[in-house]
Amino acid sequence: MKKIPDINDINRNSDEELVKLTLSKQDYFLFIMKRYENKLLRYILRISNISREDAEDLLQEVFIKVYQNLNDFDQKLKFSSWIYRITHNVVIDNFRRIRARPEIVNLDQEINDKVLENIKSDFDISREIDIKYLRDAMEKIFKKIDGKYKEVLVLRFFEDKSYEEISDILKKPIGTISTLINRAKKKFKGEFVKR
Amino acid sequence: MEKNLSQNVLEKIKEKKIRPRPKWIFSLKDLGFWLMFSASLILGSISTSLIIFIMRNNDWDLYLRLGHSVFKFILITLPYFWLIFLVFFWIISYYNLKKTKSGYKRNSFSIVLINILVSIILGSTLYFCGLGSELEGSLEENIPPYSRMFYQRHEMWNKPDKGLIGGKIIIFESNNNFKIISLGKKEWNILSEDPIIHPRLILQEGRRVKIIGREISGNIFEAKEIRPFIEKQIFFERNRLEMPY
Repeated sequence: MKKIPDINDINRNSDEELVKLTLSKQDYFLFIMKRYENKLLRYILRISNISREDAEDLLQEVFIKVYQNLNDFDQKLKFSSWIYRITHNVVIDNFRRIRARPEIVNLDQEINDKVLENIKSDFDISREIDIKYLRDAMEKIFKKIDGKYKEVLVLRFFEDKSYEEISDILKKPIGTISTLINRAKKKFKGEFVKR
Repeated sequence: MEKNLSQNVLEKIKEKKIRPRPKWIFSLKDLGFWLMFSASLILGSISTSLIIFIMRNNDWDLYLRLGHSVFKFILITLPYFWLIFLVFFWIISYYNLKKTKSGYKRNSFSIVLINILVSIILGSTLYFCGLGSELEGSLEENIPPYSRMFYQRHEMWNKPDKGLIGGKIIIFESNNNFKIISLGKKEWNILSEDPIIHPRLILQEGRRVKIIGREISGNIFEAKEIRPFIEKQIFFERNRLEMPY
Protein backbone atom coordinates (compact mmCIF):
# COMPACT_ATOMS: atom_id res chain seq x y z
CA MET A 1 0.00 0.00 0.00
CA LYS A 2 1.21 3.47 -0.88
CA LYS A 3 2.36 5.40 2.18
CA ILE A 4 0.92 8.88 2.70
CA PRO A 5 3.78 11.38 2.51
CA ASP A 6 4.68 13.76 5.30
CA ILE A 7 2.65 16.98 5.63
CA ASN A 8 5.71 19.06 4.74
CA ASP A 9 6.03 17.25 1.42
CA ILE A 10 2.33 17.57 0.76
CA ASN A 11 2.40 21.31 1.40
CA ARG A 12 4.54 21.67 -1.68
CA ASN A 13 1.69 20.25 -3.77
CA SER A 14 -0.80 22.59 -5.34
CA ASP A 15 -4.50 22.28 -4.51
CA GLU A 16 -5.13 20.83 -7.94
CA GLU A 17 -2.47 18.16 -7.39
CA LEU A 18 -4.00 17.34 -4.03
CA VAL A 19 -7.39 16.87 -5.68
CA LYS A 20 -5.87 14.32 -8.08
CA LEU A 21 -4.18 12.55 -5.18
CA THR A 22 -7.42 12.51 -3.17
CA LEU A 23 -9.25 10.89 -6.06
CA SER A 24 -6.78 8.04 -5.96
CA LYS A 25 -6.64 7.84 -2.15
CA GLN A 26 -9.16 9.51 0.13
CA ASP A 27 -6.72 10.10 3.01
CA TYR A 28 -5.16 12.94 1.03
CA PHE A 29 -8.41 14.82 1.48
CA LEU A 30 -7.28 15.54 5.03
CA PHE A 31 -4.58 17.83 3.65
CA ILE A 32 -7.06 19.77 1.56
CA MET A 33 -9.29 20.19 4.58
CA LYS A 34 -6.40 21.27 6.78
CA ARG A 35 -5.40 23.82 4.18
CA TYR A 36 -8.84 25.42 4.07
CA GLU A 37 -10.27 24.76 7.52
CA ASN A 38 -9.42 28.09 9.12
CA LYS A 39 -10.01 30.21 6.03
CA LEU A 40 -13.44 28.73 5.38
CA LEU A 41 -14.49 28.84 9.01
CA ARG A 42 -13.65 32.55 9.09
CA TYR A 43 -15.50 33.08 5.81
CA ILE A 44 -18.62 31.33 7.12
CA LEU A 45 -18.55 33.43 10.27
CA ARG A 46 -18.08 36.61 8.25
CA ILE A 47 -21.03 36.06 5.98
CA SER A 48 -23.41 34.55 8.50
CA ASN A 49 -24.93 35.31 11.83
CA ILE A 50 -24.45 31.86 13.29
CA SER A 51 -22.43 30.70 16.28
CA ARG A 52 -18.97 29.21 15.93
CA GLU A 53 -20.38 25.76 16.70
CA ASP A 54 -22.96 26.04 13.94
CA ALA A 55 -20.29 27.34 11.61
CA GLU A 56 -18.19 24.25 12.33
CA ASP A 57 -21.17 22.04 11.53
CA LEU A 58 -21.63 23.88 8.26
CA LEU A 59 -17.95 23.53 7.50
CA GLN A 60 -18.21 19.75 7.96
CA GLU A 61 -21.10 19.77 5.52
CA VAL A 62 -18.98 21.83 3.12
CA PHE A 63 -16.10 19.37 3.25
CA ILE A 64 -18.35 16.37 2.66
CA LYS A 65 -19.91 18.13 -0.34
CA VAL A 66 -16.49 19.03 -1.66
CA TYR A 67 -15.40 15.40 -1.38
CA GLN A 68 -18.54 14.08 -3.06
CA ASN A 69 -18.17 16.56 -5.91
CA LEU A 70 -14.42 16.36 -6.43
CA ASN A 71 -14.92 14.99 -9.94
CA ASP A 72 -16.91 18.10 -10.77
CA PHE A 73 -13.95 20.37 -10.04
CA ASP A 74 -13.17 22.27 -13.21
CA GLN A 75 -9.38 22.50 -13.63
CA LYS A 76 -9.87 25.82 -15.44
CA LEU A 77 -10.90 27.34 -12.11
CA LYS A 78 -8.75 27.94 -9.08
CA PHE A 79 -9.52 25.27 -6.50
CA SER A 80 -9.89 27.98 -3.86
CA SER A 81 -12.65 29.65 -5.92
CA TRP A 82 -14.43 26.34 -6.28
CA ILE A 83 -14.28 25.48 -2.57
CA TYR A 84 -15.39 29.01 -1.62
CA ARG A 85 -18.30 28.62 -4.06
CA ILE A 86 -19.43 25.41 -2.36
CA THR A 87 -19.09 27.12 1.02
CA HIS A 88 -21.15 30.08 -0.19
CA ASN A 89 -23.85 27.69 -1.47
CA VAL A 90 -23.95 25.71 1.78
CA VAL A 91 -24.29 28.94 3.79
CA ILE A 92 -27.08 30.17 1.50
CA ASP A 93 -28.87 26.80 1.72
CA ASN A 94 -28.57 26.96 5.49
CA PHE A 95 -30.14 30.42 5.53
CA ARG A 96 -32.96 29.18 3.37
CA ARG A 97 -33.48 26.35 5.84
CA ILE A 98 -33.60 28.60 8.86
CA ARG A 99 -35.35 31.37 6.92
CA ALA A 100 -32.99 34.11 7.90
CA ARG A 101 -30.92 36.47 5.84
CA PRO A 102 -27.16 36.38 6.20
CA GLU A 103 -25.86 39.12 8.41
CA ILE A 104 -22.31 39.86 9.25
CA VAL A 105 -21.78 40.13 12.98
CA ASN A 106 -18.37 38.63 13.37
CA LEU A 107 -16.23 41.24 11.76
CA ASP A 108 -14.61 42.84 14.79
CA GLN A 109 -12.34 39.98 15.72
CA GLU A 110 -11.15 39.64 12.14
CA ILE A 111 -10.58 43.23 11.08
CA ASN A 112 -6.84 43.38 11.08
CA ASP A 113 -4.76 46.36 10.14
CA LYS A 114 -4.10 45.06 6.63
CA VAL A 115 -7.83 44.88 5.91
CA LEU A 116 -8.32 48.39 7.29
CA GLU A 117 -5.46 49.76 5.20
CA ASN A 118 -6.94 48.08 2.11
CA ILE A 119 -10.30 49.65 2.76
CA LYS A 120 -8.83 53.08 3.49
CA SER A 121 -6.89 53.17 0.23
CA ASP A 122 -9.48 51.47 -1.95
CA PHE A 123 -12.41 53.49 -0.60
CA ASP A 124 -10.47 56.73 -0.78
CA ILE A 125 -10.98 57.38 2.93
CA SER A 126 -8.68 59.93 4.54
CA ARG A 127 -5.39 58.37 5.59
CA GLU A 128 -5.37 60.31 8.84
CA ILE A 129 -8.49 58.65 10.11
CA ASP A 130 -8.18 56.82 13.40
CA ILE A 131 -7.96 53.06 12.93
CA LYS A 132 -10.10 52.37 15.99
CA TYR A 133 -12.78 54.75 14.71
CA LEU A 134 -12.73 53.06 11.29
CA ARG A 135 -13.00 49.61 12.86
CA ASP A 136 -16.07 50.68 14.92
CA ALA A 137 -17.62 52.39 11.94
CA MET A 138 -17.13 49.35 9.72
CA GLU A 139 -18.75 47.10 12.25
CA LYS A 140 -21.85 49.31 12.33
CA ILE A 141 -22.00 50.04 8.61
CA PHE A 142 -21.65 46.37 7.69
CA LYS A 143 -24.71 45.63 9.80
CA LYS A 144 -26.66 48.28 7.88
CA ILE A 145 -25.87 47.57 4.22
CA ASP A 146 -27.57 44.97 2.07
CA GLY A 147 -26.42 41.32 2.23
CA LYS A 148 -25.42 41.15 -1.45
CA TYR A 149 -23.02 44.08 -0.96
CA LYS A 150 -21.65 42.67 2.26
CA GLU A 151 -20.60 39.41 0.68
CA VAL A 152 -18.66 41.02 -2.18
CA LEU A 153 -16.96 43.35 0.31
CA VAL A 154 -16.01 40.39 2.50
CA LEU A 155 -14.63 38.45 -0.47
CA ARG A 156 -12.76 41.46 -1.83
CA PHE A 157 -11.31 42.98 1.30
CA PHE A 158 -11.29 40.21 3.91
CA GLU A 159 -10.65 37.16 1.75
CA ASP A 160 -8.48 39.19 -0.64
CA LYS A 161 -10.07 37.67 -3.75
CA SER A 162 -9.71 39.11 -7.25
CA TYR A 163 -12.77 40.13 -9.30
CA GLU A 164 -12.39 36.98 -11.40
CA GLU A 165 -12.27 34.78 -8.31
CA ILE A 166 -15.35 36.50 -6.85
CA SER A 167 -17.09 35.95 -10.18
CA ASP A 168 -16.26 32.23 -9.99
CA ILE A 169 -17.31 31.97 -6.35
CA LEU A 170 -20.65 33.76 -6.68
CA LYS A 171 -21.24 32.47 -10.25
CA LYS A 172 -21.91 35.93 -11.61
CA PRO A 173 -20.34 37.67 -14.63
CA ILE A 174 -17.28 39.80 -13.86
CA GLY A 175 -19.16 42.90 -15.01
CA THR A 176 -21.86 42.25 -12.43
CA ILE A 177 -19.22 41.74 -9.71
CA SER A 178 -17.54 44.98 -10.68
CA THR A 179 -20.87 46.82 -10.50
CA LEU A 180 -21.70 45.20 -7.15
CA ILE A 181 -18.33 46.16 -5.66
CA ASN A 182 -18.60 49.74 -6.92
CA ARG A 183 -22.10 50.07 -5.51
CA ALA A 184 -20.99 48.44 -2.27
CA LYS A 185 -18.13 50.92 -1.99
CA LYS A 186 -20.50 53.83 -2.63
CA LYS A 187 -22.96 52.55 -0.02
CA PHE A 188 -20.16 52.03 2.44
CA LYS A 189 -18.66 55.44 1.81
CA GLY A 190 -22.08 57.09 1.94
CA GLU A 191 -22.74 55.55 5.32
CA PHE A 192 -19.25 56.44 6.46
CA VAL A 193 -19.59 60.09 5.50
CA LYS A 194 -22.95 60.32 7.31
CA ARG A 195 -21.27 59.35 10.57
CA MET B 1 -11.30 22.01 17.37
CA GLU B 2 -9.07 23.02 14.44
CA LYS B 3 -7.10 19.84 14.83
CA ASN B 4 -10.16 17.62 15.00
CA LEU B 5 -12.69 18.98 12.52
CA SER B 6 -10.89 17.76 9.41
CA GLN B 7 -10.10 14.42 11.01
CA ASN B 8 -13.74 14.03 12.09
CA VAL B 9 -14.89 14.69 8.55
CA LEU B 10 -12.45 12.15 7.14
CA GLU B 11 -13.63 9.57 9.66
CA LYS B 12 -17.24 10.31 8.80
CA ILE B 13 -16.43 9.91 5.08
CA LYS B 14 -14.85 6.53 5.76
CA GLU B 15 -17.54 5.40 8.18
CA LYS B 16 -20.40 6.28 5.84
CA LYS B 17 -18.44 4.98 2.85
CA ILE B 18 -18.93 8.28 1.03
CA ARG B 19 -17.34 8.27 -2.41
CA PRO B 20 -16.82 11.06 -4.96
CA ARG B 21 -19.59 10.92 -7.51
CA PRO B 22 -18.38 9.62 -10.87
CA LYS B 23 -17.27 12.20 -13.41
CA TRP B 24 -19.78 11.02 -16.01
CA ILE B 25 -22.69 12.17 -13.82
CA PHE B 26 -21.40 15.75 -13.92
CA SER B 27 -20.59 15.54 -17.63
CA LEU B 28 -24.06 14.18 -18.34
CA LYS B 29 -25.67 16.94 -16.29
CA ASP B 30 -23.72 19.62 -18.17
CA LEU B 31 -24.50 17.97 -21.48
CA GLY B 32 -28.18 17.93 -20.48
CA PHE B 33 -28.13 21.70 -19.98
CA TRP B 34 -26.41 22.23 -23.34
CA LEU B 35 -28.94 19.97 -25.06
CA MET B 36 -31.87 21.75 -23.44
CA PHE B 37 -30.33 25.09 -24.44
CA SER B 38 -29.90 23.95 -28.05
CA ALA B 39 -33.34 22.33 -28.21
CA SER B 40 -34.96 25.52 -26.90
CA LEU B 41 -33.11 27.60 -29.47
CA ILE B 42 -34.29 25.29 -32.26
CA LEU B 43 -37.88 25.22 -30.99
CA GLY B 44 -37.77 29.01 -30.62
CA SER B 45 -36.55 29.27 -34.20
CA ILE B 46 -39.37 27.01 -35.40
CA SER B 47 -41.82 29.30 -33.58
CA THR B 48 -40.16 32.27 -35.31
CA SER B 49 -40.54 30.61 -38.73
CA LEU B 50 -44.27 30.15 -38.01
CA ILE B 51 -44.59 33.75 -36.82
CA ILE B 52 -42.90 35.01 -40.00
CA PHE B 53 -45.10 32.77 -42.12
CA ILE B 54 -48.32 33.83 -40.41
CA MET B 55 -47.45 37.52 -40.53
CA ARG B 56 -46.33 37.40 -44.18
CA ASN B 57 -49.53 35.62 -45.20
CA ASN B 58 -51.76 37.83 -43.19
CA ASP B 59 -53.95 39.11 -46.04
CA TRP B 60 -52.74 42.63 -45.34
CA ASP B 61 -54.72 43.91 -48.32
CA LEU B 62 -57.99 43.20 -46.57
CA TYR B 63 -57.97 45.43 -43.51
CA LEU B 64 -59.69 48.29 -45.33
CA ARG B 65 -62.40 45.95 -46.66
CA LEU B 66 -63.01 44.86 -43.07
CA GLY B 67 -63.15 48.46 -41.91
CA HIS B 68 -60.27 48.07 -39.46
CA SER B 69 -57.35 50.37 -38.80
CA VAL B 70 -53.91 48.84 -39.45
CA PHE B 71 -53.29 48.80 -35.69
CA LYS B 72 -56.52 46.91 -34.95
CA PHE B 73 -55.84 44.54 -37.82
CA ILE B 74 -52.39 43.75 -36.40
CA LEU B 75 -53.83 43.24 -32.91
CA ILE B 76 -56.45 40.84 -34.25
CA THR B 77 -54.10 38.83 -36.40
CA LEU B 78 -50.92 38.64 -34.28
CA PRO B 79 -49.98 34.99 -33.69
CA TYR B 80 -50.04 35.29 -29.89
CA PHE B 81 -49.76 31.54 -29.40
CA TRP B 82 -46.40 31.34 -31.19
CA LEU B 83 -45.18 34.58 -29.65
CA ILE B 84 -45.80 33.11 -26.17
CA PHE B 85 -44.06 29.91 -27.26
CA LEU B 86 -41.09 31.91 -28.53
CA VAL B 87 -40.70 33.83 -25.28
CA PHE B 88 -41.14 30.58 -23.32
CA PHE B 89 -38.29 28.94 -25.28
CA TRP B 90 -36.12 32.02 -24.82
CA ILE B 91 -36.60 31.71 -21.06
CA ILE B 92 -35.82 27.97 -21.12
CA SER B 93 -32.69 28.44 -23.21
CA TYR B 94 -31.53 31.38 -21.02
CA TYR B 95 -31.99 29.31 -17.86
CA ASN B 96 -30.19 26.28 -19.30
CA LEU B 97 -27.25 28.26 -20.64
CA LYS B 98 -26.83 29.94 -17.26
CA LYS B 99 -26.84 26.48 -15.65
CA THR B 100 -23.97 25.14 -17.77
CA LYS B 101 -20.55 25.07 -16.16
CA SER B 102 -19.34 28.32 -17.68
CA GLY B 103 -22.79 29.86 -18.23
CA TYR B 104 -22.54 32.23 -15.28
CA LYS B 105 -19.67 34.07 -17.00
CA ARG B 106 -21.92 35.29 -19.79
CA ASN B 107 -23.93 38.37 -19.06
CA SER B 108 -27.68 38.25 -19.33
CA PHE B 109 -27.84 40.85 -22.10
CA SER B 110 -25.55 38.82 -24.38
CA ILE B 111 -27.59 35.65 -23.78
CA VAL B 112 -30.84 37.44 -24.64
CA LEU B 113 -29.16 38.91 -27.74
CA ILE B 114 -27.88 35.47 -28.83
CA ASN B 115 -31.40 34.07 -28.38
CA ILE B 116 -32.98 36.81 -30.46
CA LEU B 117 -30.34 36.64 -33.23
CA VAL B 118 -30.46 32.83 -33.48
CA SER B 119 -34.27 32.90 -33.56
CA ILE B 120 -34.26 35.49 -36.34
CA ILE B 121 -31.51 33.90 -38.45
CA LEU B 122 -32.47 30.24 -37.99
CA GLY B 123 -36.20 31.07 -37.95
CA SER B 124 -35.92 32.97 -41.27
CA THR B 125 -33.90 30.13 -42.80
CA LEU B 126 -36.51 27.59 -41.72
CA TYR B 127 -39.23 29.88 -43.07
CA PHE B 128 -37.53 30.19 -46.46
CA CYS B 129 -37.12 26.41 -46.51
CA GLY B 130 -40.88 26.16 -46.19
CA LEU B 131 -41.05 24.77 -42.65
CA GLY B 132 -43.40 27.51 -41.43
CA SER B 133 -45.99 26.84 -44.12
CA GLU B 134 -45.68 23.05 -43.83
CA LEU B 135 -46.17 23.15 -40.08
CA GLU B 136 -48.96 25.69 -40.16
CA GLY B 137 -50.75 23.70 -42.88
CA SER B 138 -50.44 20.42 -41.08
CA LEU B 139 -51.46 21.87 -37.71
CA GLU B 140 -54.47 23.59 -39.27
CA GLU B 141 -55.54 20.44 -41.08
CA ASN B 142 -54.96 17.88 -38.37
CA ILE B 143 -55.42 19.61 -35.04
CA PRO B 144 -58.82 21.32 -34.79
CA PRO B 145 -58.08 23.00 -31.43
CA TYR B 146 -55.07 24.69 -33.06
CA SER B 147 -57.31 26.12 -35.74
CA ARG B 148 -59.75 27.33 -33.10
CA MET B 149 -56.97 29.28 -31.41
CA PHE B 150 -56.78 31.47 -34.48
CA TYR B 151 -60.53 32.08 -34.46
CA GLN B 152 -60.15 35.83 -35.00
CA ARG B 153 -57.92 35.35 -38.05
CA HIS B 154 -60.27 32.80 -39.57
CA GLU B 155 -63.35 34.75 -38.65
CA MET B 156 -62.21 37.37 -41.19
CA TRP B 157 -63.03 34.78 -43.84
CA ASN B 158 -66.52 34.18 -42.54
CA LYS B 159 -67.96 37.52 -43.61
CA PRO B 160 -69.88 37.00 -46.86
CA ASP B 161 -71.58 40.37 -46.38
CA LYS B 162 -68.11 41.98 -46.65
CA GLY B 163 -67.21 39.83 -49.64
CA LEU B 164 -64.97 37.40 -47.80
CA ILE B 165 -65.61 33.71 -47.53
CA GLY B 166 -63.41 30.72 -46.77
CA GLY B 167 -63.95 26.98 -46.68
CA LYS B 168 -63.39 23.56 -48.22
CA ILE B 169 -64.43 22.62 -51.77
CA ILE B 170 -66.97 19.80 -51.53
CA ILE B 171 -68.19 19.60 -55.14
CA PHE B 172 -66.04 20.73 -58.00
CA GLU B 173 -67.48 21.29 -61.48
CA SER B 174 -65.08 23.84 -62.91
CA ASN B 175 -63.06 26.87 -61.84
CA ASN B 176 -66.21 28.89 -62.48
CA ASN B 177 -68.62 26.66 -60.64
CA PHE B 178 -68.04 24.75 -57.44
CA LYS B 179 -69.51 24.30 -53.99
CA ILE B 180 -67.80 24.88 -50.66
CA ILE B 181 -68.64 24.32 -47.04
CA SER B 182 -67.73 27.57 -45.33
CA LEU B 183 -66.09 28.19 -41.97
CA GLY B 184 -69.58 28.95 -40.70
CA LYS B 185 -70.58 25.37 -41.73
CA LYS B 186 -72.84 26.65 -44.50
CA GLU B 187 -72.86 25.35 -48.08
CA TRP B 188 -72.20 27.99 -50.75
CA ASN B 189 -72.39 27.76 -54.54
CA ILE B 190 -69.42 29.64 -55.91
CA LEU B 191 -69.96 31.09 -59.34
CA SER B 192 -67.64 33.25 -61.36
CA GLU B 193 -66.81 34.37 -64.82
CA ASP B 194 -63.13 34.95 -64.88
CA PRO B 195 -61.80 34.93 -61.32
CA ILE B 196 -58.20 35.68 -60.41
CA ILE B 197 -56.86 32.36 -59.18
CA HIS B 198 -53.58 32.15 -57.29
CA PRO B 199 -50.99 30.90 -59.82
CA ARG B 200 -50.14 27.73 -57.91
CA LEU B 201 -53.66 26.95 -56.76
CA ILE B 202 -55.34 23.99 -58.45
CA LEU B 203 -58.99 23.86 -57.53
CA GLN B 204 -60.27 20.41 -56.64
CA GLU B 205 -62.45 18.68 -54.05
CA GLY B 206 -61.09 18.78 -50.54
CA ARG B 207 -58.96 21.91 -51.21
CA ARG B 208 -59.34 24.74 -48.69
CA VAL B 209 -59.71 28.15 -50.27
CA LYS B 210 -60.29 31.79 -49.42
CA ILE B 211 -62.54 33.71 -51.77
CA ILE B 212 -62.95 37.45 -52.29
CA GLY B 213 -66.10 38.51 -54.11
CA ARG B 214 -69.69 39.34 -53.28
CA GLU B 215 -72.72 37.61 -51.86
CA ILE B 216 -75.42 37.32 -54.53
CA SER B 217 -78.12 35.58 -52.53
CA GLY B 218 -78.53 33.31 -49.48
CA ASN B 219 -76.15 30.60 -50.69
CA ILE B 220 -74.69 31.95 -53.91
CA PHE B 221 -71.38 33.82 -53.92
CA GLU B 222 -69.66 35.40 -56.86
CA ALA B 223 -65.88 34.89 -56.75
CA LYS B 224 -63.54 37.60 -58.01
CA GLU B 225 -60.36 36.22 -56.49
CA ILE B 226 -59.52 32.78 -55.13
CA ARG B 227 -56.55 32.18 -52.81
CA PRO B 228 -55.22 29.05 -51.13
CA PHE B 229 -56.22 28.88 -47.47
CA ILE B 230 -52.61 28.44 -46.46
CA GLU B 231 -50.02 29.73 -48.87
CA LYS B 232 -47.04 27.44 -49.11
CA GLN B 233 -43.57 28.91 -49.05
CA ILE B 234 -41.27 27.23 -51.51
CA PHE B 235 -37.60 28.07 -51.21
CA PHE B 236 -36.36 26.68 -54.49
CA GLU B 237 -37.93 28.43 -57.42
CA ARG B 238 -37.49 25.38 -59.66
CA ASN B 239 -39.78 23.41 -57.36
CA ARG B 240 -42.62 25.87 -57.58
CA LEU B 241 -44.40 24.29 -60.50
CA GLU B 242 -43.88 20.83 -59.11
CA MET B 243 -45.61 21.70 -55.88
CA PRO B 244 -49.10 22.95 -56.62
CA TYR B 245 -51.71 23.33 -53.91
